Amino acid sequence: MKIDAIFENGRFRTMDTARPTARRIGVLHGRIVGLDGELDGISADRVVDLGGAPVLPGFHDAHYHASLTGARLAALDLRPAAAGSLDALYAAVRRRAGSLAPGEWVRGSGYDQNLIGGHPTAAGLDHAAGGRPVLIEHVSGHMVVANKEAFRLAGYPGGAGVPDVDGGFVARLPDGTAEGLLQEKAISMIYELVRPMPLDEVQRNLRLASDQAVAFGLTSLTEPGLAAWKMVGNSPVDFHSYQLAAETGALLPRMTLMPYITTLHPVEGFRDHDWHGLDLGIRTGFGGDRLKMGPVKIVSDGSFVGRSAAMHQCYHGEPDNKGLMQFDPESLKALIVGAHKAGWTVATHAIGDQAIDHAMDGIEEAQRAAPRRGVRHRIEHFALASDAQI
Amino acid sequence: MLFDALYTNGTFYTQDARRPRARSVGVHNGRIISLDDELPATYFRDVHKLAGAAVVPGFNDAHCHLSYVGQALVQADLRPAVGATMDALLAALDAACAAAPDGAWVQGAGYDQNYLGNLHPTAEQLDAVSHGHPVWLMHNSRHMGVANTAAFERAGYPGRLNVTAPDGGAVPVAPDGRAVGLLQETARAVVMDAIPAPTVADIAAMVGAGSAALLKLGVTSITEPGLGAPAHIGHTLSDLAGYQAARDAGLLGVRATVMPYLTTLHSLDADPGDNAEDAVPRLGLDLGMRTGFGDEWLRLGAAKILSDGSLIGRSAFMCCDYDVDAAEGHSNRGLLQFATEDLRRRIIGAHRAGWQVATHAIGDAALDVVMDIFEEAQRLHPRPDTRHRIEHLSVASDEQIRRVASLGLVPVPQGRFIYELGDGVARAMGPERTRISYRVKALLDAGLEIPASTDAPVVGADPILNIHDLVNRRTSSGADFVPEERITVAQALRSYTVGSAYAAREDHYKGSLSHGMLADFVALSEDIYEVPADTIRNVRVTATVVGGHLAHGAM
Repeated sequence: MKIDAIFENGRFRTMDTARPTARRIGVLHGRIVGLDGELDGISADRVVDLGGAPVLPGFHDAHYHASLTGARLAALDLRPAAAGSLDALYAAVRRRAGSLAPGEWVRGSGYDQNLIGGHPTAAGLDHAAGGRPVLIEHVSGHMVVANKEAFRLAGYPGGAGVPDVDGGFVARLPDGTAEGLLQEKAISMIYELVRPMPLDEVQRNLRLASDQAVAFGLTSLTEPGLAAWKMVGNSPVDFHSYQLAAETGALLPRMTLMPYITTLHPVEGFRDHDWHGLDLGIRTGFGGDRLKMGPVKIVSDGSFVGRSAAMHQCYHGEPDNKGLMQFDPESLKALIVGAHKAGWTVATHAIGDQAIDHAMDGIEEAQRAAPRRGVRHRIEHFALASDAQI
Repeated sequence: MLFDALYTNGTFYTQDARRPRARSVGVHNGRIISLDDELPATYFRDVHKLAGAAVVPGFNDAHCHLSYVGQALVQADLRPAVGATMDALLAALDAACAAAPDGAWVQGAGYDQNYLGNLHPTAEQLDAVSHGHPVWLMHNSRHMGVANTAAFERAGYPGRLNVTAPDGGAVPVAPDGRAVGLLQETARAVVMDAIPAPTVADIAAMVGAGSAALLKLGVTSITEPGLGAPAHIGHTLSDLAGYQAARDAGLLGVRATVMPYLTTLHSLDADPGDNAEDAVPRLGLDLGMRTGFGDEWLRLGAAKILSDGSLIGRSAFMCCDYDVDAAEGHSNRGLLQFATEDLRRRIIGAHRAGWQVATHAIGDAALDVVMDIFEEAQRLHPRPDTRHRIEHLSVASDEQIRRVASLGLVPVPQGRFIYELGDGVARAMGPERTRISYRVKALLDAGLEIPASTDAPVVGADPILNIHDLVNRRTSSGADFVPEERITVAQALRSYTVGSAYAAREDHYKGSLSHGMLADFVALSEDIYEVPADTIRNVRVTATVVGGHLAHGAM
């Protein structure tokens, strides 16, 4: 009898304090069955000589937007290294537009207004795109700039009549028309025009992301938000897409998937408590070691780099700006408590210290209302926190 | 190097044609890693000696309502074996009520008034032993039941007064105007609608009880055929939360493939360029979760839907009138539960969204309707190796069976029906039509890989009895039931292992005892392949191993 493989002549750091290093690892049916001397007398179908290389357990990125990564790999690269100024950004948009059919969307992503002198404007993008609709995504993923053609398709010709959005922000010119920049919940009015994403496009994006991820040494990924395609995710059938990509081998890393909170709905018929969940009551933990249902994701505030994370104090130089909460504190608390009662682990994006306090209030109330052990609720980013908050 | 366990000195019937017998099986991390002498015993932490016992892969019931098996167990068991007299029945109920938590409903099932002097229990008799709990007892037919006064009160009828029967139901009333307790057919809802929906913990307890009972019978895997739709099949809208809770609490010892009832699937506006004008919209669950999501302990299987009714109730949809009805001068060929267009939309919509689909079709007319739909689904949206299933397929001509095979469909028959239901079916169908009822050998002759299943708790869950009936085909009165459809023990064992895994799309890691497969197997009191055919039912399961761990019995 032979085991599947022995990887030898490596310098393994095991992350196991009981046995921190090894030179040799034996593998059978995808699991480690022995180290070093335990493998004496054991033969394997394959023996791999690592040539003394240092070896670590596969990297696991606990917050990695795989399909968004793939979409960006496929879209126009507007990161500062590729477009270091606003002029360079508009020139890149013009070049891409020239390669497209009339009416096709120009999609780009990765710009950072802090490094190129400001956000692009709708007018500037119109000028570059030759009449095509344009959607440019900020590096944070929390804001976009659309041109007037995109606003027209959304029902706001010339950018006129765009409403204010709770939990979002619409940049305006002095005449009240949209300047181009949309933040947080205001993004959905444009996303709705390009979502749900066609399913073969999702497969392409996952394959691109997977190829890059494994090259980086990532063997596991947690995807923070799917299926709420107006805000986060690609289409209403994101789990089908990830299942298909895993089944066909297009998506190699092990995936933990977080549905976005707006995909959960009230479910009647439980007498012990209100149930806020998915069809058939499937919740955190369903699935296997290739594809698993993870926590439910809530985005409570905005982004640091976009100055929309919710703070107790104003941003430097902006006395009126303390960021924004996407959900008011009571609503956020209700969402966290409802999901907790229905057996979910909850992952709340909270960047600013105000958002962190509201998230922790929600988690505390949830445990008070329905004590559960080992639930490991999460706070994603946790970017500005005092000693007391930690 | 120490691997987990070696099971040795057994007669392992591996179901692997390349290596059909083994004396030893080595197990590590829940999978089979060695056979016979490939690894010496010294390489294993534990060595179990089987004293020559016959061992087969764990029984996989491809159509088993595990949570309902468990429900009957957590409720009061009032079947004739327990409630052989009215006094015995009331004593069993007394014990259940004394133990029940304050204010909780107490439910029981399985009583048969034929054993109680042809009398149903009355509400007043129940009141005397209820300890204040509302009580609902279901008759073994499940078409009627009896309630006590507290139950009627909870339902809005204090003192059992002013209870009127809905259309299609009956509420016997005493001269004093009070309902006597019995509620028949649609009148069951008078009280049952007041019973609160189960909690997650309730469902987890049902799953746990069902799992424990099935492990003792040597069942290591099941497919539960329908959950999540209380109006059709299912306890609540969130039945899988109960399964997950059972699993998290260590109560799920049987591997479970769960079929959502197809009415739980809804439209998904998945792909903007997706819908040609007359295309059938995709139907799925939230997030697009579908067949295959899960792991080797709990996973989504096919989406399940009923097309027609039952044979024993003469509501299965047939080409021709039931013999019993024709003899009485009225026509009855059964019925479809859904309008054909509705069935078509649901099955094709699920097929489009990547689901395996399992359609209950008992009558031969229902079978034609369902095969037409499956054929159209594949023509509109070609998909390889769908393995759509026909649950029961109870009445089928040779030509229909050939069509099942050519469409790549998987039939899911039940051997145990022959014993427990066969006499009634023979009367319902008449001699000619009985010849094409409950066919099994004909399916194998057509080249089909068939699973084994019981449809428990409609009939008993015991795989040994199911195998006995597949091989012997005799009813409870001792009559032969189409003996030419008998199959061999070897064929029955294959259906209970490889066949059921194939039907659930798990044959690449379950069903045979070979390298890399799940280490699920059962030891038997005698070699089931060797005993005389009419004594198969006496074979017992002595040990059940799941994932390499002993889950029941002893070696």
